[in-house]
Amino acid sequence: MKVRYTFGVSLAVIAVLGACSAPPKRIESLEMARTLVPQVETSERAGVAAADLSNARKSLDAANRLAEGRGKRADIEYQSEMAVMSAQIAHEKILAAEAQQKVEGATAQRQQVLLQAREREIERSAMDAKDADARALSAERSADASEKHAASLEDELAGMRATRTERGLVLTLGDVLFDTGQAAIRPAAYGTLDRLASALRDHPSRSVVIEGHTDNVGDDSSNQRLSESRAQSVQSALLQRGVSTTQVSAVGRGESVPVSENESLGGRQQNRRVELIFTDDRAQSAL
Amino acid sequence: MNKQPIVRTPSATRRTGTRGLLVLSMLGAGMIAGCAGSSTLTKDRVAQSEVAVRQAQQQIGQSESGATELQQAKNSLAAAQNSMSRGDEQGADRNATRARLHAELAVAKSQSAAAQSAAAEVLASSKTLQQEVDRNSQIAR
Repeated sequence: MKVRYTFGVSLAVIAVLGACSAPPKRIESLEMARTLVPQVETSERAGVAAADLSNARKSLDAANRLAEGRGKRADIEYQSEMAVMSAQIAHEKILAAEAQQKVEGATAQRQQVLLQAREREIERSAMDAKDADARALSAERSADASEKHAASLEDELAGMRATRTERGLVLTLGDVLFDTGQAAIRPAAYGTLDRLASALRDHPSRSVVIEGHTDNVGDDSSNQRLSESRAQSVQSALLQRGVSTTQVSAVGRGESVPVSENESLGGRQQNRRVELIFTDDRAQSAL
Repeated sequence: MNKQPIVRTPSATRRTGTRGLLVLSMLGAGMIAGCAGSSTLTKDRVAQSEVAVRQAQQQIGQSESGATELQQAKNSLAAAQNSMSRGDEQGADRNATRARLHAELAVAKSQSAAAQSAAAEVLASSKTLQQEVDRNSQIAR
């Protein structure tokens, strides 16, 4: 019984001594701390979490000392846990600092892009303004050219003995260009009609109203028909020569608008006529 | 050799009894002290952890990042308070420290996630802007 008692005590002592003296088995948290702490310490931006890394290092050192000095497992685990947590805090702070740096970099880059865009915009505006100036100059020249063209038309019409009246520029085709009592145009008028058609084609913005007139010989209705026919003949001749239909209109005035007295031969001849009234901005038809 | 019987005199018996009482009293006082509460240092540490956990709660809000660590901080704080009420000085001290570190880690994780999210957003925005500017330039040409 005494032996059994002694053995039992010995076992207990061995167990106790064993528990105290045996080196601790692999401690997971300590291994983790031994891996993690140096890893975070060597980070490029470790400086932003210096205090946390210092705490982590102190705790790891304490855990190592306890492990080497056969300290209690619970104490080793506690110190290891503290080391791991401090290292994790440091790691998160480093990540935050790196992200912040990225934000600053991206913001600067964004500013650069905006600046670049603004410079390009200014450059484009300047080019647009230059183009606009060029276009304006070109338009001005074109307007001048048109003016010159218009002037040449006026000159040309003036050369054809056109006269400026309140109704506009009026060119009169005399009676001699038509057969007596007929609407057919004599070939002698073709040259004049060619020039007129050419001038109107060159100036599509201008239009002409063709008015037919007669003397007072005969009845009104036949004079009216004759004046209309002659006006239409001239209109057809111009259209045949390529003038746009929108530029030309024809109307018969009969004997209602004489330019001379109908008593004499000369007066009646003047009254038998076809007038071409050119209308544009400067000359409006008095239809 | 004459064996002399051990005879306890009344005075000796009294002395032994007094010593025992003294030892018992000291043990009792120690136990009472242990049960009555922890040291000021531990109390302070637990109080600091309470503040740290509360602040972490406010900073993290409903954010997902750091939520796990915040819960661990709350658990550790509860364990610290429990240890303190039981008079477990070391348990209270260690759990209070755990709670504080968990709270700090929760805040750090939350801030890190927010910063990384902001960085990703700004980078994406910057990239889109660059593409837009390049496209406009090409159109202008």
